[in-house]
Amino acid sequence: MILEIRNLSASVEDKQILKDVNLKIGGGEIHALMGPNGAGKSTLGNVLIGHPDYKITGGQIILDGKDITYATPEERARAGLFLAFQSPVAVEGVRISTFLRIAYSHLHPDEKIVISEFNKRIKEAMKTVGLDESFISRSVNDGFSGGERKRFEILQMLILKPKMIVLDEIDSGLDVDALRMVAEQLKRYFSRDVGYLIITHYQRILKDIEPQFVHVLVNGTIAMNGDKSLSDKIEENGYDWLKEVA
Amino acid sequence: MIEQIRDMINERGYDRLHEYRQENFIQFMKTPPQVWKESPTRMRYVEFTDEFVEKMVLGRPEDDEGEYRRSEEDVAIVNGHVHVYNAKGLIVSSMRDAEEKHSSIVYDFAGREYVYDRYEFLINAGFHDGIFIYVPKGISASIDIEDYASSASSFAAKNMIIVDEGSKLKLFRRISGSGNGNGYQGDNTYIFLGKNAAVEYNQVQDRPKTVVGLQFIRTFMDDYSSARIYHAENGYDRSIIVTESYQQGNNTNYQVRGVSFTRSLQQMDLRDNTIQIGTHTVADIYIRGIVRDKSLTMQRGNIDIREQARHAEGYYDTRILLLSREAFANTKPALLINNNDVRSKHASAISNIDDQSLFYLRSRGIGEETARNMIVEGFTEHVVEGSDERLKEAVVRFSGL
Amino acid sequence: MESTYVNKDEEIDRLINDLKSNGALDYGFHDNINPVYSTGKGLSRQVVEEISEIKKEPDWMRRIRLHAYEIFMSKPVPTWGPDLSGIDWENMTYYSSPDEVKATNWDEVPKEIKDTFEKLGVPEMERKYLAGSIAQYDSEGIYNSLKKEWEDKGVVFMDLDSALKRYPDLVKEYFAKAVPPSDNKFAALNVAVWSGGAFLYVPRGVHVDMPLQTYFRINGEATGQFEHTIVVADEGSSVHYLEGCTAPVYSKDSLHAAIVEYYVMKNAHGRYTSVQNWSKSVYNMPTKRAWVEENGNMEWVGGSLGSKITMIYPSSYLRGRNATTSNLNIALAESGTVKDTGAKAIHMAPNTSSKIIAKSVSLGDGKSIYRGLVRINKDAVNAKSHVQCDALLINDESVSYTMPHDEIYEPTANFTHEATVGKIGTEELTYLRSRGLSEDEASSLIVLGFLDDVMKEIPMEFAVEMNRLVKLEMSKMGAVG
Repeated sequence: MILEIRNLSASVEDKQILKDVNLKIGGGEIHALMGPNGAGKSTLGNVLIGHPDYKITGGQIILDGKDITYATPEERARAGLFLAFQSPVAVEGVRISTFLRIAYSHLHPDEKIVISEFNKRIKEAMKTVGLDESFISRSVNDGFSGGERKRFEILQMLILKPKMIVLDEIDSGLDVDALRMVAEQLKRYFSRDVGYLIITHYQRILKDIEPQFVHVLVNGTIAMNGDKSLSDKIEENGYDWLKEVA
Repeated sequence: MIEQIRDMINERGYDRLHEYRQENFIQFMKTPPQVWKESPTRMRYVEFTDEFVEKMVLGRPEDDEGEYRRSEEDVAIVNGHVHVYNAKGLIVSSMRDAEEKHSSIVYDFAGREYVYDRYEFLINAGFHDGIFIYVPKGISASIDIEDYASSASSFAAKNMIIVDEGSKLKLFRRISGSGNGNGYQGDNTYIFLGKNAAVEYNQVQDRPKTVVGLQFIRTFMDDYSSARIYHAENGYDRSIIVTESYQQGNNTNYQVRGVSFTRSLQQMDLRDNTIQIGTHTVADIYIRGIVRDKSLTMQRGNIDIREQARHAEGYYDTRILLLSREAFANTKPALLINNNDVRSKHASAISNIDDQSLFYLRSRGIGEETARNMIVEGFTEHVVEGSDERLKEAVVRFSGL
Repeated sequence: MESTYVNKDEEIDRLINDLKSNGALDYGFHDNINPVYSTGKGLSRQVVEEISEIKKEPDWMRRIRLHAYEIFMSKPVPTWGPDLSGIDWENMTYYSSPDEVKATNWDEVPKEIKDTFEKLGVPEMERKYLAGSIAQYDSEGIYNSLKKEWEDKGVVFMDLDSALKRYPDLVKEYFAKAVPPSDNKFAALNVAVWSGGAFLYVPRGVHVDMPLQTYFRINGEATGQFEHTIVVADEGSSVHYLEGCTAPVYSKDSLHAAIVEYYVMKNAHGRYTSVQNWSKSVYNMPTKRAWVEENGNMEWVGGSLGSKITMIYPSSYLRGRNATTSNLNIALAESGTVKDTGAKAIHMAPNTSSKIIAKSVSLGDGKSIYRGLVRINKDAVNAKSHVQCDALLINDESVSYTMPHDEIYEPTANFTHEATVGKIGTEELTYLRSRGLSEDEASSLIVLGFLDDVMKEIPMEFAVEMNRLVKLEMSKMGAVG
């Protein structure tokens, strides 16, 4: 699976945020997208999944050769794209089990779901990500703490089995143990068919899961591309030096 | 009585004001009495009849000697006064004078009125006089009004407060009186806000407890205007007090903070409403009531968001403290939402002083009565935060009565 | 608990599949059942006399009917709520006895009704218990009349006409007491011309641990339906009474003015659940009221789905110390319909408490109105009441009014009320869609989620029906905005 972002520009409420962003993520690749606050990192995540408040003003998003620039969020999800949201929203009254089952049936239409088995799978995954089994009958993110929401995002990845995964600040609001769990699961899930785009401000998570490619977003544009050493340099020196370079 | 009023209307007012009065009189005749049929088993609300309002419009405000004298400033206030601070080009006069000298302004704005209550029509038809304030474009002004009349006199006043484009007005108004007379006193106060205009209206209602009162405070709002209405209502014998916005303009912001007090056998019907028509309108209403002895307080509030009012927000919050075994409280908050791009909420609560809080204060050595007063004061205090100091003082005084 | 979820989930799955294959259902059909007797069109004193005569009623009932008729004639049509001018009083048939035996067995259910269920797509098991005037359903699918063990314990459950013949004194004690004909015009009409409805008496200390159900339908064009139901839960007993309807569409407007009187005695527990799904030509004007005595508890659970105009405000009169009540209500106002629904709680004794939760969804230009009353009388010391009303507006032109009314005459009372109005949030919608759910699925899930606190109190069979309706309506709406 290959995700290609070509000259992508996008705006929110008529304010231009992203300008000519180019990225290419293949299967078996781990990319990190770093950048200072307000650089447009989360905008990129939302644009990739097709959030209606974000308007694409130019460029293309290609997933496995298919143009999904103007596809609906569900079409993108069904094509294998997954965004772990920075602040997942609570959906009152919608039970996790129902939600996941309907989603799964769309993502894997050829598979027949046996409800009891599927629920068992969810419960096992809950154990894996450190959520209590009882969460299965709760509503989506309703009354969840920040950490629980993040764990639930990872759970969804494990259950729904997407191929191209964008993680928006997955490390924010997590304690050390939770962070270790997330990194471990990401590593375990990783394969030749799976691509990661890890969007992060700090490089906390990058210690546990090492990216082959590092991109830095400044003022809505990719200011620099590099490898792991780039993120190390950012950790040492912050982002200020980049502004000068850019 | 109706014929009497008709004749009186023919006597009062000139040219267009005459027409205006006639028009309102016709509306009064046409409009059926309001019925409150939501609760067929109701015990009682404020009893109020046509006769009361008829008495209002047939009378005039009088001082303690039974005379009608204009105040020194030559505005339509008996025994009271008006203070104007730092404003050039400001017009302050009686309504009757304004009709003569500034008729184009009066009619430009009177044409924007939106009225539907039959009592209000009758006051517009038969008012004796009132205050006219015009703040021209781009001015910032501050005005104090002391309304004072004998409790024995019956009268109806109509006041127009116009704040033109981009101007600001801060107004403090105290309505009080003397004696134990059984007068009937009515008041229509209309505030007109031009584009980007702002008003802060502080009202302390402290009429004698024997008086029957009726008041309508309406705020007509153009684009980007804002209003803050603070009102402290100290009960009279029987009263209906209505505040209502008319947010025809886009991006208007309407805030109301009200506190009401009733005691002995007083009955008060307080209605705080909004009418939201423009887009991006905000209305936020907080009302607190203290009900003592055998009195009755009714608090109604309509958040009325019309079909065109996209991106509207409307909130109404009322809370009542019942302080005696024989006190009555009614609340009737309503949300009337006619489109789906709206955030709206209401909350109401009626209760006694919380035993836990009382106990806590007493456990720190505060006497029970003091503790109760502290809680009552605390109940109203944050609502009037930001209002004129004199209004805050009045609220403290009313709380402790 | 677990199995319930799984079942509901399976149902939701099935429904989503239905949704895909079945965009809109046609409810525009009706049965051909010929009434054997009818009083003809219009209402008069004579018609009332005639009804009583046909039914061979005792004289006291005839007199109550005539008294109620006078009240009905003297009261004006209420104008404070929705427009009722469309009710055609003159052209309505006030009594007709359908050629429908009081079936207690599936085989006896007329074929037309079975066919109607078929067309409505009601599942086999549901059809069976929904059919017949009084039918009962349990997990084994046995739908005979009341189980023998309940009969042995003295439970009386039959239609009111039969009860009047077999237990006239018992009926007389409770008939039109909680809801007197003077209450409102529609109650007066019901008492004057009532026919059908159920009588359920649960003796002292008896716990009926399975819900008892009755199913009513409107048969015959322009036929008013005036069931009168009485439930008595005697001291220390408990019972759950269930009612549900799905009416076919008729060309003329029909009026439904039922009465439910519920008596919850000392230490007893009563529950009443109803889901109304009348066709869009019906005026639904029932009066439902419970008297709750000392330590008694009354629960109202209701769903108003269909009808042209519904006005319903189930009431609890908390008459004894420590009496409690809860009222959970869902209203779904489709385009062209008005749901004027709410609840009343009258606190008449110390330590009484009430809880009202009302949820409404307005679709298209549908209008949902919450109208409620909480009254705490003087001397209802330490009474507590909480009211929560939430409204969801699906489309631009959807309308919601919330008009609660609270009268508190007791200073030690504690009363709170909250209401919110909003639409489906973009964030929630996007989140669900980003996981592959279609817009229709996502929005129906959000709507069902919004209704969830009440839905989980509704028996599974009704919840399924409700799910189906919400989904059907959402899919008809197409894009939500």
